[in-house]
Amino acid sequence: MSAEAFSPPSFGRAVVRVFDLSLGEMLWSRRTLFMAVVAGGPVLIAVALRLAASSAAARFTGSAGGPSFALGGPDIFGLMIWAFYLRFTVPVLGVFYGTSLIADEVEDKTITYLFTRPIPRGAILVGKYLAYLACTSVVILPSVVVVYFSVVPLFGGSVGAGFPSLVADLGLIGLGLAVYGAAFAFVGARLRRPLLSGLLFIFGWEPVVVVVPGYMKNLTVAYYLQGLVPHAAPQDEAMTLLRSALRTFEPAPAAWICVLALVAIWVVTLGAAVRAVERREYVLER
Amino acid sequence: MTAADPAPDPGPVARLDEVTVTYGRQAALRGVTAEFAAGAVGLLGPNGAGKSTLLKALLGFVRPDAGTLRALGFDVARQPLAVRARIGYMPESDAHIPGLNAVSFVAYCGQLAGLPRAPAVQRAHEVLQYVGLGEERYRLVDTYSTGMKQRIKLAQALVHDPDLLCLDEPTNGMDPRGRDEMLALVRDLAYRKDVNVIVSSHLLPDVEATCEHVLVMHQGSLVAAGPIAELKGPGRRAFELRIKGDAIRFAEELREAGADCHDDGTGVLRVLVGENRGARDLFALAATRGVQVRHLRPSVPTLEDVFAQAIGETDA
Amino acid sequence: MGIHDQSYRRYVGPRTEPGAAWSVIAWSGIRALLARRIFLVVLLFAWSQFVVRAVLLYLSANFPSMELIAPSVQTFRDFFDQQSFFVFVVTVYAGAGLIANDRRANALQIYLAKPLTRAEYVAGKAGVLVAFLLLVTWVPAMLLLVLQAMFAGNLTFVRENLFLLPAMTVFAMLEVLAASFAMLALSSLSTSARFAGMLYAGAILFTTAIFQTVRGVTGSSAASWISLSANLAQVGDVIFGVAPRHDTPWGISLLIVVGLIGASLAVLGWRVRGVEVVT
Repeated sequence: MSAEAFSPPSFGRAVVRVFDLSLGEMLWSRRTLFMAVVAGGPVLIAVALRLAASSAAARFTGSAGGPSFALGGPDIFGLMIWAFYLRFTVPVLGVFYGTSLIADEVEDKTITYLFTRPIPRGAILVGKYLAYLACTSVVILPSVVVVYFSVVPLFGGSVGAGFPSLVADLGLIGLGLAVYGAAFAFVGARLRRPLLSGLLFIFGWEPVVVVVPGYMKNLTVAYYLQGLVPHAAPQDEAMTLLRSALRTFEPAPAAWICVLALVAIWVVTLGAAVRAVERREYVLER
Repeated sequence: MTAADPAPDPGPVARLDEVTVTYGRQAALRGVTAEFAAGAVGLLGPNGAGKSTLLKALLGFVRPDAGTLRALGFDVARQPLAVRARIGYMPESDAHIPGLNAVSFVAYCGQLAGLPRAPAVQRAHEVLQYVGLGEERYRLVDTYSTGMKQRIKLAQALVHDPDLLCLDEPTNGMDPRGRDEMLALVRDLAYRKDVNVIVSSHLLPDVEATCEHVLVMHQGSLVAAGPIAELKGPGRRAFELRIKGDAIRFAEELREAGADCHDDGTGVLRVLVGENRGARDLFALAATRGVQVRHLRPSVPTLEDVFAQAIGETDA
Repeated sequence: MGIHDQSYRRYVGPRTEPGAAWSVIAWSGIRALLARRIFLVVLLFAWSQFVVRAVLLYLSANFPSMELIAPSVQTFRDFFDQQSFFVFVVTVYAGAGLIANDRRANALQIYLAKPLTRAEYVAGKAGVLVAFLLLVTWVPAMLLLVLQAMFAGNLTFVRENLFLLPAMTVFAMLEVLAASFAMLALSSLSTSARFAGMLYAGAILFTTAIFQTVRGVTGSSAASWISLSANLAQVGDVIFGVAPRHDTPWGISLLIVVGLIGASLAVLGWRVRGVEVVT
């Protein structure tokens, strides 16, 4: 056999191979069960709302923090997008999946099988990252669409009129999954305890820093995602109240700045993750 | 040992009486009645014979559906802690407590077994030295090689000085030298240190090298038991035989003539005959059956013969 | 001069009675965690609120103009409320691997081959978590009460609010036991500490997100029973004698918290075994 006969696959082809391998693995993993529950939660709420709306002359009002106001279907949908998907689902899935991309393989001692193939290490991370993105999008985005069609027609809402908002929401959730996933892929590739670091970031660092005046909030993903939310954020907590109070002095950045910042975070963190995987020596014994 | 525990009865170190264990619909032990004599006893059987289940039942990990077990004079079902305080168990699978170095791990196991901290640490050092890990005792167990993990499993089973040591496949994954050393340790414990040992293995040479007694298990049942020398048959003679012709049929004819016979898998028949019979009888039988003997070599009865005979009879 | 026998020797020294192995397990776990620098940093952060509140207590006791920050029952209730974040962090950090790591390394058969019961094993593992969770809840709260008396130079506040002692103890134990057993149960379901941590974090955050969404839509907190942390908060309010924050009857919240502990113990009884039975 001659050495010239073999040529290793290119970066792109390697990414596709790893993507192909990882997608099936991710879709049929225990974690998908958790994701299905996460995606099913708002669908259940939507179904419950429809039942409540049809069985009685129910009318929902906005909650504490501001004056009560009647909520229409589009308002409820906007609230669910904000409260459930953007504030919970997107960052949590980003942490759970992103930190696991490499850590799972290290923990199962299977990374050796991937690293000994004639493909760049970075392609392994990118392939698995794309599989994460496809896997989460396939489960979460349909859930958003189901919620939209269940909730928006309630109390006189128009499905057609709100459609551009749905498209924007889907794009925003997709972008959020991409950015959080890339950021936590880096954390997972770099740190020994990525899960706790990730949870501290999204539930410790981000909520606090986002309301602090100054430049600190620029070190979060949530700040830029909030700037793109097409719906008004509900005032349901003291923290949100404080945030809205501070916002009177500090308006949200323009949408194009938010998009640019999110893309920059995405590129930088994914690049850093690739670099970390390329250079780091993973110890499998522990 | 607790003050409340009565003094153990003398006699066999462990006794099973009609013990049945099932996992769902699968019977792992089927009404097994057996006695483990003092000293070193081998528990033989192919994979899935029920050896590990028997040991786990002895430790109280699995509760039998029927029957009773006694170990060191205690009823396993009623006094499991008293039993486990006197038993050392070396599991078959890779098992350790993560994040500890060897000394901490073994000392920790000693403490769990009831030793105060200082003696536990002292025993840990001694036992690690004994099993050949003295130089590696401050290394994390997680980083040990397969052979070293076998040794540390033995160390943790020994640290509290048990009266009965249950070793499940003790030489798994060891290199030839490591295997010899492990077997030497087992022999030393059984014959010089007065520790009763049960060696569960599917490797016949391991059992033959360490034990005087053997229990052969097959498909959840006990198919042979007793001192190895007796089971081999005192005065019996063995021959390796290769013939031209129908070997299966000739083997049947040998059995009908009162010999034990099995194929060793390479076309060679191992034939065991009584002390009054010999090669001449084999030639005579071959001549009457029109079979040509191509090769005949005297041999000695081995544990493999006992095993093959026991398993063969059960299957038949 | 005698020659030391370096081969195997029989042990003739003392042995402790069975029943104390749980403390060996607990101490070993506590020592292992205290050896981690990051965990010490987490603990240090968890005490930051105590430091701030201690300063406030000093100021209110020594400067009459600071009456606005004078301690009340609500002060101690708020303290526990704000410590719940650290309860979450410590639970995930210290608890996720307690059983999962043992299952990964097949350590359960090592443990259970020793003279200890499954209950002792669980108690030992729970002891690790309970100790650290009490260290970030009950211990600083009690110290705050002591500091208040010391700064004020009298026992007036303590005497007037004597019920705080049992209230803080009962609530801390309820919170700590619920978190500990829930985490241990999830840890026993997996061989990956990370996955166990995810399950716990997911369960807490998911139920809270669902509750917040429903509350946002309906304008009522009657669905607070959905959220594990809201149930604890509701029961805590009742124990401290302050107005309950949610519309769910506190009895239901208590039932759910107790049910969670019971369900966790049932899971632990099912999963903590010396042998993996596959049927």
